[in-house]
Amino acid sequence: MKKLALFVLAACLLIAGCSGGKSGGNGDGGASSPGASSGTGSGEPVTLRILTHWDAANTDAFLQKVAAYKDANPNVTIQVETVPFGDLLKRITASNLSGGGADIYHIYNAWLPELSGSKSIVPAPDAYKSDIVSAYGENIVSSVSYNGQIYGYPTELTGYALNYNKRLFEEAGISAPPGNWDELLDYAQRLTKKENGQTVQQGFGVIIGWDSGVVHPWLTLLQSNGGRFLSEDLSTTELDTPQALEALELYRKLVESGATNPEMGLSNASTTGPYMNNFELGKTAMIIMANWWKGSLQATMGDRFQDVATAPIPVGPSGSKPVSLFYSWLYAISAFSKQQEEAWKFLQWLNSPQGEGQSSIQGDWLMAQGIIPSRLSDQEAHKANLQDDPFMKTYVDLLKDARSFPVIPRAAEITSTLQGHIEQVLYSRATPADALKAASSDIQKLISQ
Amino acid sequence: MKEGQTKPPEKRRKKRLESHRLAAFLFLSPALVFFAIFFVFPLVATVYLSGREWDLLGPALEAPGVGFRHYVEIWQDDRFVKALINTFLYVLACIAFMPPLALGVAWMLNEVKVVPWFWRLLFFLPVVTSSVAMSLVWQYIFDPTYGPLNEALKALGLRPLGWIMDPDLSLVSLIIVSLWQGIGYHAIIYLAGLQGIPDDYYEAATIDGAGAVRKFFHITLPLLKPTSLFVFVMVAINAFQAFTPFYVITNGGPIDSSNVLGLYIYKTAFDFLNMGKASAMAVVLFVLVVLVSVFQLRWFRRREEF
Amino acid sequence: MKKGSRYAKQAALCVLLGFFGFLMAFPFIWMLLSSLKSPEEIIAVPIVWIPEEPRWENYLNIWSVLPLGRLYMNSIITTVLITFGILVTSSMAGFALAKYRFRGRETLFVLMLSTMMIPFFVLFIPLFFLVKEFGWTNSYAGLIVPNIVTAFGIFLMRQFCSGIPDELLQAARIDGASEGRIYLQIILPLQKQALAALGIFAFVYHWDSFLWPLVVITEGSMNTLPLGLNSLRNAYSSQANMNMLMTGSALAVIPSLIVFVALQKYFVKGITMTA
Repeated sequence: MKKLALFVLAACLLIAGCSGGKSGGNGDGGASSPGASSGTGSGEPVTLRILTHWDAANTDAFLQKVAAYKDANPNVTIQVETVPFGDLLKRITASNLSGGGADIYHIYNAWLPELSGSKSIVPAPDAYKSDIVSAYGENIVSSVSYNGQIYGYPTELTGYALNYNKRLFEEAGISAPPGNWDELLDYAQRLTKKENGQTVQQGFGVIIGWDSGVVHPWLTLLQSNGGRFLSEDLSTTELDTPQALEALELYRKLVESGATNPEMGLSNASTTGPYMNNFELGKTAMIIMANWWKGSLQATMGDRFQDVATAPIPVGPSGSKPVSLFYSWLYAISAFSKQQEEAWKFLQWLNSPQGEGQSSIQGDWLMAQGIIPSRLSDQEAHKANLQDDPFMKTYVDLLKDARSFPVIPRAAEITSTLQGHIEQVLYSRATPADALKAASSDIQKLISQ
Repeated sequence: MKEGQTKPPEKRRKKRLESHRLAAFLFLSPALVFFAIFFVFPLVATVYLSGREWDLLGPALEAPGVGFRHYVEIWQDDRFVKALINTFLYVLACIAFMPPLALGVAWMLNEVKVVPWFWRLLFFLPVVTSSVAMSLVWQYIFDPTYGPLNEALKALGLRPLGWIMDPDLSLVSLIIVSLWQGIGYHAIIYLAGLQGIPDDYYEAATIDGAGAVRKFFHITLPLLKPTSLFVFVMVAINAFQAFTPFYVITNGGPIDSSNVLGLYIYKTAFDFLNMGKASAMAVVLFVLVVLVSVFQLRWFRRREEF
Repeated sequence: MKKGSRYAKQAALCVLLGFFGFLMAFPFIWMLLSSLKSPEEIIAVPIVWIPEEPRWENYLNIWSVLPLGRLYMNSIITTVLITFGILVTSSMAGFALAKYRFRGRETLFVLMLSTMMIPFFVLFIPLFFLVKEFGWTNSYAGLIVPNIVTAFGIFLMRQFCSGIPDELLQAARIDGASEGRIYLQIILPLQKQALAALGIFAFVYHWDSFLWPLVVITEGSMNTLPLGLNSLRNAYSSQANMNMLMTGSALAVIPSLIVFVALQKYFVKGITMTA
């Protein structure tokens, strides 16, 4: 009897709950169907909100630079809302659930499959599409496309290169950066110092704990060894190849020789942490890292930044040339924005040359942070800077042959899975062969789902 | 009242029971309404979502149904199993260490007569500080290369350890952080229990010639039983829910060595955008936790009869 | 002799407490010290324990980065109202569960207890639907209402009320008091200290609440302090800027500390819930 009453109560609540959910869903669909409202009249005040993960200084610089837009379009106000990188995707999902939020999302291209599949963002209308196709390189355009649609204006382009500390190289009597893996292994050992069994200086640093930070640098080594992560059509992994085994064996040798100490690699997506500090403080001699962190390096290292040099990815025994990895970011328009037309217009203005042969505002702003602009005319306008700056030049040169990180559904889980297996080898918990076998079967499963 | 007196006792009792039931219902109603809306509905919705393939981005009600697939899937996921084991280890460690340490601290706080409020404040500090900020500080303290902890070990002539960067020690490190955060909180609860014990109990024991140790085991501990049970329940609850330090300090690493269920559910939902699978894990966690709480309550009730 | 040994005992206690207390306070001290450091000192090797020139200006500069006034106001309004709501609902429900016998009481209690054990982020997606449906996104209501009932509070108050002798209620009933009057005039005054304790728990917990505001609030002007701190974490993403993060954290802790110091006398007495 007691139980029966309880069941009745539970059932009532269940029904109440379900009907509540249903009406909630319907309301959502009706209020915010994509594209229901289009551009606003020129006179009406419009506020365009950009959701991004920039830091405070960059946000201020951006707002100053786009203040000019207000002169030509007095009715438009630009606002920037920033959240840490780790919260960016969560914030977008929350905006979707509430059927609102920012008009412009600044997003990582690996999220394209999910964001476009769920119709959270809209493809570029034809007028802007042709602008994007003509103004950016082909590999860049394809990196912001998914299923044949272009989803927005590419912004920053991030590649990977070898970073090393010249002062430590000189101290060890090494004159040039390693060009191949034998040299890498040899130099890394010569650059390692131990005191009482504790590493006080490691030859080659790796990231631990941050998925892309673990996976991307290793993939540049794999690719520079003639291997690939996924097949050309992105349908199968190619981790069960001899090239991949050699690349992971390299990590095993680095760890076993003591030249790499995984305990010095803590890092996460929001703060670069001890991994970065160890490099800045000259406790790590070599790393493979992305160009976006040049600004942070400069800021914290001050004068010591002149010790930092960059070099192409060392080439493996089965490879013929350095093949780096890149990913991109783009401005996309939220499907829930009520002023999509205004938003596209602003993006076009932001990314167009300010005058004949000049850079766009976006390009200037990216360059100020040490990030390579992806628009061809911007690269042209900043050519002198990009070529003069030895740090950047390596990255720019590497981009020619670099491969985009595959834009596939479930990229985050795939990356996280591969991270786990690479870390197993870095901590000597699995042999490279076993780790690769497990990684390829796990990842294949994720791809096929 | 007079009228009631003329009625047979059976009927009177019934009437009073009736009015009590109404009063109880009225007192409970605000809580019940809110529980129904803000707990039961979300819980039912979570169960519903565990049978769907939803990526959090699209409309939830159009997500295709997959039946019990997620419930099968999670047991084939090594990372889930690992997180489950870690969660149990963590909960057990908290239950084993937190109450005795908290009791020890509480005993000292109860005995000390010099600036007692200052000592209380000192131990309660970790509870009032922002957990995100303190987790960042701990990350720094535990850093194997240049954190103050290894610096201190070296100064003592001990071997520096890998702490949060060592797969064998990362969970231990996080247990240390949790103990640090929780001891003050539970010590205050024990302190309240200790102050609730009348002094004459001790005086009587002293007259009987009982030593300090005997007094502790024969008077203090038995009288603290209700407090202890409360502390055990709270420790278990908090341990099952642990999230922030794991998220900020190790993010579950290295190699999932400190991955716990809460963190893995969160990652599955918000990083991997697999709300269906995350909900299935949540339901499993919920069932486990209900089992634990029923077990604890049984124990509780049995003790209460004394 | 006896006096001497008592002094010795107190001295020993102070030494012991001092040692453990230092361990407890160390991360906090480290936070305060770090907040006064320069970026170079933060990442210096060997460790800089005490900053050479304390940078008190960090505590002024932070106001230009964070709209602290607004953040404090939002946090205080939200936390105070949540705490009040929790006190009201817990006090009534705890009393009812402890002092009335009715069918399914134990089951109801177990059900309520078990909700304590559901990780919040499991519930918050469906919860978010609701709040959106009520039109409460970006509002105090959205921050406050879903939080004003906690199983913990009910649990605590039930335990407390179990210790109130039944005879007290019986006597009042014989005197003809209604159930409502019994609650207001007998139970509530008795609960005062337990409520103070619960109030501290609730205040401290919700002052630090992060995940829910992160989802409900999308406009900067409605941010609470933890959200502000989080944006700080983004604004100063490099480790060397940890000093500013520590400055912000130190400022965020102050109100919780004040509440604790002000109420700590009741706090300890209040949790005395032995039967």
